[in-house]
Order: sequence, then C-alpha cells, then structure tokens
Amino acid sequence: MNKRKPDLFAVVNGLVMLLFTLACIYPFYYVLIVSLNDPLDAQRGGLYLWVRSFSFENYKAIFQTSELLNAYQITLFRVIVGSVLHLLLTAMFAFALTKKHFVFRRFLTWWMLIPMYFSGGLIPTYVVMDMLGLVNNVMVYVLPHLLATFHILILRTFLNELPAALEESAVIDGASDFSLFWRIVVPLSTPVLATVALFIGVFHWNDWFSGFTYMTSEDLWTAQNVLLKIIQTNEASNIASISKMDAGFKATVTAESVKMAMLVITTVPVIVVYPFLQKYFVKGMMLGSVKG
Amino acid sequence: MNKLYRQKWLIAFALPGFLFFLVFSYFPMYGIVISFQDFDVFKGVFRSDFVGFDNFKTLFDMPDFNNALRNTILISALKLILLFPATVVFALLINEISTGWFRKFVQTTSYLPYFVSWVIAAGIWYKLLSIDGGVVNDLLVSLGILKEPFHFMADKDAFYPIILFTEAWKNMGFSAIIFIASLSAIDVQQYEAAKMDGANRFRQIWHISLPGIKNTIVLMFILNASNLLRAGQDQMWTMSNVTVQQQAEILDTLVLRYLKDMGLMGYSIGTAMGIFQAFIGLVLFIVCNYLAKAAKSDSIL
Repeated sequence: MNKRKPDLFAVVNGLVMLLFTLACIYPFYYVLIVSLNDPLDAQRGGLYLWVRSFSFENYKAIFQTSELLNAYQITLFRVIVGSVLHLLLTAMFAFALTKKHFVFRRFLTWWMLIPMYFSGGLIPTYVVMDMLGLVNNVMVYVLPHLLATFHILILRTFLNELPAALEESAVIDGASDFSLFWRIVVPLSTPVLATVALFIGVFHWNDWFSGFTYMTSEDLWTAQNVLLKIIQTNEASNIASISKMDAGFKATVTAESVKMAMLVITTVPVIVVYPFLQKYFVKGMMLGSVKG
Repeated sequence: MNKLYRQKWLIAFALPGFLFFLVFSYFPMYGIVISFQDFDVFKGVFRSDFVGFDNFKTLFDMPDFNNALRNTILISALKLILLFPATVVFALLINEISTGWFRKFVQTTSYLPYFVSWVIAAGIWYKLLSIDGGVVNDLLVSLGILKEPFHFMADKDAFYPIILFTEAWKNMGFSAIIFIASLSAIDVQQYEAAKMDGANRFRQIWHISLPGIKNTIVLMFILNASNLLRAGQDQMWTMSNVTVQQQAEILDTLVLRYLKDMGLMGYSIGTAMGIFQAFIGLVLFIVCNYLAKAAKSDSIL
C-alpha cells in the first residue's frame, strides 16, 4: 500500500509476480492455441506461443458428435433451470426469515443452520436420492441444489440492512407480503441476487460430482463428466475416429486435439463471466468470512 | 389461527425451504443408522438388522481404509505445512507491489484457475506434463535438466509434488485474498514511522505486516487444520490414474469407490467411513477452536 522508490527488492518481486501471473494464464493460452491448430500439424509438437496452422477441425468434430452436444445441452439445462429456481427459492426463504414477526422464524433459522455442520454423508444421501427416484433422473442436477445455507445467509444479511421505511410505507398502502416481495424486495436486491446467481451458476457449470455419482447412464452426463472420462481414458480417440469416418477415412483430428477443444469450450463461459466473477466472489468471500 | 392466516405468504415462501432441508439434509442424517446395520436393500433403512459397532470394527481392520486414512492425513498435512505459509508469503509479496495497476493485475489473474473445475485443471495439467509434446517436458529437456521426457503423471514419487503444485496453482491466489484484505487494513502511518526509524523492508514486513495479520493467520490456520480429513476429493479423483491409485486414495474417494464399485455390499461400511470422517472433523474443529481461544485470538464459534 505504501509508496516506495523502486529498489532491487521491488524489481525482483515484480519479476517473481510476473512469472506467477504467467503460470496462471499460460496453461489456458496453451490449450487454446493447440485446439485452434491443425490437428495433424500439432502432432509435430513445438506449439508454444502461437497457432502455426489455423484450423477449426477440432471444434467441428465436437459439434458433429451427438454425445457431446447432448452433454452440453444437459449442462445448459442445469445452469439455467438450476440457477433460476435456486435464486427464487433463496430469495423467498431469506425474505421470510427477515420478517421479525414471522412465527416460524427462529425454528426455520435453526432448521437451515444445522445442515451446515452435520450431514448424512455420501452414501445415506445416495440412498435417499434412490428412494426419491432421482438416480438416473436429470432433476438430480437441480433439486438437491435448490437452496444453500450460505447463500440464504448472504441474502438475509443484505435484506436486514435495507431501510425499513421502504417496506413500512408499502404496508401502510395495504401491500401484502407477496407484493412486498415482488415489488420492493426483489428489485432492490438485484446486486446481491447477481452475486448469488454467479455463485450457483458457476457451481452448476463446474459440478461433475452429481453426474458421476447419480447417473449410471452416460446419456445423462454433463459436459464435465464427459470431459473427465475423456481425460482419464482414451475416449477422445473414439470421437477422432468417428470424425475420421465422416471425412471418408481421412484422419482430420486427433484424440489429443479434440480434448483440447473440449477443454476450451468448457472453460470459455467461465472466462467470459470472469470480470464479474472475480468482483463478486471476492465480495462474497469477505461476507462469508465476516459472518463465519 | 388468524395470525397464521395473516402470515400465509411468509409461510408459503418458507415452505419450499423447509421441505428442501427436510428431504435433502435431514433424511440423509437419519440414513446414518445404516452404518449400525447390516444394510439390506430389500429390507430398507427401516427394517435392516442392527449390528452395533461391527461395521466400525471391520473398518479399522481394512488395509484399504488404513491406507486411505494415512494418505488423507499425509496430503492434508503437506498442504497445510507447505501451502499455507506459501499463501501468506504470496499475500505479503503482492502487498509489497507499489504500482497500483500491477498489483491489481497480479491479484486478478492469480485467482483465474480457482474458477475452473478440477476436471478442467486436470485436463490442462495432464496435457502440459505429458511425455509427447508436453510443454513442461519440452522445456526441461531443452534446458538440459532432463535427458529425456519424464512421465510425470505415471510416477508414484512425482504424484504428491504434482498434487501440491496443482493445488497451489489452482487455489493459492484465491486463498490469499483474505490475507491481502487484512493487510490493507493496516495503518500506513505505522510503515512511515518504521521507515523514519530506519527499518528496512524486511523488518517492516516482520514487525508490522505480520503482526498486523496475525489474527487472520491464526484463524485461517485453524479453519484449514480442522479440514485435516478432507484432502481434496475433486483433485484426487480427477488427477489420479491407475498407476498412482495407491497414493491417491483418500477417505472421500474410497467412500465414492465403495458406492460405485461395491454396490449394496459397501453401503454400511462406506457410511461408517463417512461418519468416522465427520466425527473426527467435528472433534478437530472443537479442539482447534479451543486452541485459538487459548491463544487469545478471535474465536469462530
């Protein structure tokens, strides 16, 4: 924070930090250039700084593979439906909890806090999901993530700090809790709702655990699940060979290069919202750590 | 009744939340009983035979479990001992950057990897460390450090260093945020005064910066220490492969394997493992918090 004249320490420190920054960004850049390079040319190696022979073949191969398209569709489904419902229910629940006169306020506050410290663990949860018919059901991506105690707490803190006068005047005008919620609370909490939307959106996009745990049918996997399988096995070579057949037995893509393109497609949405992400996540992390 | 009727909207708003926690949090908590049962799927949670602590006894005799427990503690401890101080140092170094935009730039890029999933991180590092055309091997060979490409991901001894490195790569920037924030709360006048007294940069860090964030360091250390039995499920599952499975198996992944591979046979034992892990976690949390109080720092309870 304090201004000092540049000295040896500052120069060395600056260089070290620059190296660190490079280590954070370069891996992503590297994957990007390999994915955009002609796959057969990429096999020669030596691709470090820029694309040598530009080509969209890898991306074409992905968009021609129905399994992958299907997986991305399921990911989009859970990001959109899962996040919207999560936001709605979180806002409703937090709103009810901030009303001091609400009869179940104390009970519900404990009701949501206890699961923060105790949980049944993986297998009992699985048994419950199985009993509910959620195994091999896309709703398993949405229903178990409809609410999160941490997000309710963030919203509750925000709502508690809203000036009471706004709601009071609406109540005097005869507004019900329902219209209070929709006309006053929701519009006023857009900034904090945006924060929660980013949290849950990124969670839904990145989560591979649900698909892996609850889906035995690979048709119901998300992009992360397919990607994980491709990374851990040689699945990508199947896509490469499918696309080979399409091209009349002339190899156009390789397993490695398709993998790189999938990594890019799965990373890009996160990078696109990154400017917002970093701002709101930092804020949210602070909130969380202050509240404990 | 009239009061309830007047609060009908509040009740309606809270009802989905009530049901949500009931079904997805409290039902599974009840499911814990299967760790005391010889769980039979046809009899279900309610009618399976109770066997007392038999499952727990079996657990401690299992080589798999003991290996996973050892790995879990080893990996967590390594992360705590090596990466936690590294994160504090990183925060201190960022704090020493005097050019505003450059500090912001370093900080912002440092937590980019935090936001991608471990699936992506694993995919990227598998590629970077691969033997045919991986950048790391190419670089090390061309610098003459290695004679021929080294198969990083298939080497038992290289696995833990890789785990530590990728963990630092992915999470260090984000974990540093909290320290950087508390560093920025230190009064600039303290540094001015120290400079007047002729304190050099290292003395300033040692006598002003570090004491200034001591409470935060203690608090974060406790939070991290109480997660000793959580060694990073996502990372272990995505970064490991058959060659290093013996090293990569931690409690979380073992439970997952019991669920996926052993089928119904593994339910009772797997649940017992989960309970063991949660119980020790709770004990650790309480002990650590007590220690923190003893050290007269802020308490989190």
